[in-house]
Amino acid sequence: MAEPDFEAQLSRLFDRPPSLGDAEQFAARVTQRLERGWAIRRIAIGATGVVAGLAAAAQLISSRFSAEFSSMSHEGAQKLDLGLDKVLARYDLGSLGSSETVWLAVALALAAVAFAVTRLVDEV
Amino acid sequence: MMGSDRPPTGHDVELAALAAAGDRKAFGELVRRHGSAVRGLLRRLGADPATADDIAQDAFMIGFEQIADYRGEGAFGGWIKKTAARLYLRRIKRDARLVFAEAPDRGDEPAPQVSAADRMDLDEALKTLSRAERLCVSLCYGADWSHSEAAQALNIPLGTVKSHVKRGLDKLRARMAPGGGAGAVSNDSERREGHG
Repeated sequence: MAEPDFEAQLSRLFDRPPSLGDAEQFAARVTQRLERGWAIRRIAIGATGVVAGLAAAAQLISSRFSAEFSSMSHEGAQKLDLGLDKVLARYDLGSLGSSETVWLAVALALAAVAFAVTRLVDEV
Repeated sequence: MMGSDRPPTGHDVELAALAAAGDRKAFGELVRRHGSAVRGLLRRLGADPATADDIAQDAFMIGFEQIADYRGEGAFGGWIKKTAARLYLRRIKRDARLVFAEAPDRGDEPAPQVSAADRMDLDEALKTLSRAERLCVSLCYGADWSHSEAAQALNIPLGTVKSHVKRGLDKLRARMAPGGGAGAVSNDSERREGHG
């Protein structure tokens, strides 16, 4: 057999996949892993959305309450602000600024955690 | 197609396009078509069956993530095999098992008696090669890498890759085609060297 023929034959032999008895099971395992990864990703995205939605809703409600209190009673609003200040002081969050900053920080932290979890899932 | 239980049909490029749009069933069909080839290549590169399966799975997962990069210029099988080969090299480098020590030359030993049936058994023939020869031959002929691509990936000089390939081919020829000529330079070799 001449050399070119041999190399061409070698390439053909390499191209010919071996007959493996568990080919179907292998394909099923890969598909299962794909589906699992997809499902986890969907859950993570969904959970992040829910948390972000809850946070937004809480913000909206609290700001509306605050406005209503304010309109009903200036004194009441002052109390509310005082209460918030107390909470911020208790958890040493006063230095961060307004409550919006805290919420923003929480939202960013949640997004970061969600991103980290997604990456971790990808890596695993 | 996504709602049907029937496996998708069509050319690999069409399935890849569907997979790029998120159709996991289409990608599953690609896995069914090319799974054995990828696993076979990894085994031929020297991976044990369990490791080969692990790496093949990882290669397909990466393949799915990067399927949008596959634009059908070459065969899907070749594209995914290159990914798998790169993963295998990364694995053996990580495990510090990539040692290119020269195997003792067994050229003086009498050639084992090989039956006609075994003569074309590539997998058995590859076992007679040293680790480096097997890796270089399988990368260049199985994953269709050029010599320079292999040299770069293995971090060894181009000349060393060529030597390993040549010695590996000589041994394979001696086993698989005992009557073959040894001196000719083939178009295939020129093509692979031409890549570099």
